[in-house]
Amino acid sequence: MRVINPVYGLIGFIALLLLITPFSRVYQVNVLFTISLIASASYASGVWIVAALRDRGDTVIFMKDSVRKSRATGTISESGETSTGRLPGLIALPYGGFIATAVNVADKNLAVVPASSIEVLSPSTTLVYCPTSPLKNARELKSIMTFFAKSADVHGFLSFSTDRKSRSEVRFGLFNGLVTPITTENLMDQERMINSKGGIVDMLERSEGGEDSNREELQRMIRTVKKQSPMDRAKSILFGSRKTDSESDRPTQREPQG
Amino acid sequence: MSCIVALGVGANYMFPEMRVPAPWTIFLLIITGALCSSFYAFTGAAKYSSLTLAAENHRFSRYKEPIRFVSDGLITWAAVPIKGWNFLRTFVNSGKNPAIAICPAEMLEQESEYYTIARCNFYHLTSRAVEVLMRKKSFNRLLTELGYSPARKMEVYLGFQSGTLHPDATHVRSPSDMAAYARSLATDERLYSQGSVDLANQLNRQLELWQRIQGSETTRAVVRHEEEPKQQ
Repeated sequence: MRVINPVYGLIGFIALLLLITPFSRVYQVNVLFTISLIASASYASGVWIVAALRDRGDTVIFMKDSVRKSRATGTISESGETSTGRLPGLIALPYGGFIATAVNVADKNLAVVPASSIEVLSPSTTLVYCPTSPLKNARELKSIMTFFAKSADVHGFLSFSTDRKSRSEVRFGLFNGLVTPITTENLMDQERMINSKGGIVDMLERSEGGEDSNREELQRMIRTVKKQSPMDRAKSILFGSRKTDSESDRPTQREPQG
Repeated sequence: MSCIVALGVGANYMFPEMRVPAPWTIFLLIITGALCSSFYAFTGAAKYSSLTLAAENHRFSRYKEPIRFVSDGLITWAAVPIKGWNFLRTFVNSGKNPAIAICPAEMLEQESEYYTIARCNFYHLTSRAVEVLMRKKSFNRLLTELGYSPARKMEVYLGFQSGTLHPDATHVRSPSDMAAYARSLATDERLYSQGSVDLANQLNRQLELWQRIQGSETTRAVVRHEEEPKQQ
């Protein structure tokens, strides 16, 4: 029995409607009602369309966490490993974006995992066999893997950010499930290390900034005393804070909404 | 959605009623377009949120149904019901899987039931090919159990030809000495802490100096001297 594709039926229905339009009866239509109808439908499809586009694009599956995420770009940087080394070669794998026909969203999240725990199943599906721990905020990656954090932060193809108000997510893991079974003790060690070293980021930023960080500290103190005038506040809301050239060229973290 | 409705109600009171003449077919076309886009978006989102069978050339969504295994005397085959969906966020699901993917059980891999990996390529079988497959009693029984019948034909995919199957020895490298990593971070902590403390001391010295300058008689005289011409 031959099955007819429902899409052909739909195209036929639309063609029929277009054909009979010149002969059909004309009614007075309320403009507001029509606009609200279109807006409701756009909203309904808009909230799901992003997930639908993610499904169509490339995917990374975190096998040990049972999590599937979309991705737009490949790995951005990798460290090597030697036979005598005690640490695995790590890889920075961005995710969270997608590329579909005529629409694309840059990756805003980052996973840092052992390079040998990644397998490419197909050009569109990547598997990660490493239990990853989502960090509390993206800024914390500076504490535990500064190089990858800085590298992703300034990358032109990503919208990843380690700012205080960043909406980026970071997943970090050091164990490779393909090499050894991962025990509860291993995971507890990993979590203990991540949780105890979160404070490094404040000292790192202070130390990295040098004399500038002292100036910023002073400015912060002054701001707490001196209140911003309503005009200045309005200007900062309207025009935002000043950005460098590299910052303004980077893709935004916002996703298209319906 | 409630915001849109509220805006619509508000606009109805605020703006004068406007009506335009339009054929009823145009109105129906708008509704059809809206329904189609919503349907496409919903099914796509539902598939993304569902259990998944990922293979080397396909990715299928699944409704939660058990995987069946059958032996043809030579090898064991796994039959995975596919193409259903389970959209937890909207509380609805497809209720069943309208297709079946069959592959050698050795090529199937599962860390959890959410994401099943088939290390093979899946090929779509025609009705004739399925009939040939069903001549073998074991496959006949399996497909019948999964709901395949001459009256209700389902899509069937057969998996073989793996390109990514490899021994685990490939991965036996990648050390992960957590103690070494912790030691490395402890060094970071010590260095940054020292730098941070140095800067804090420097800031304290600068603040003390500033307080001393502000409090000195010379500074007050300079400030008075600068303010006097302005008042004149």
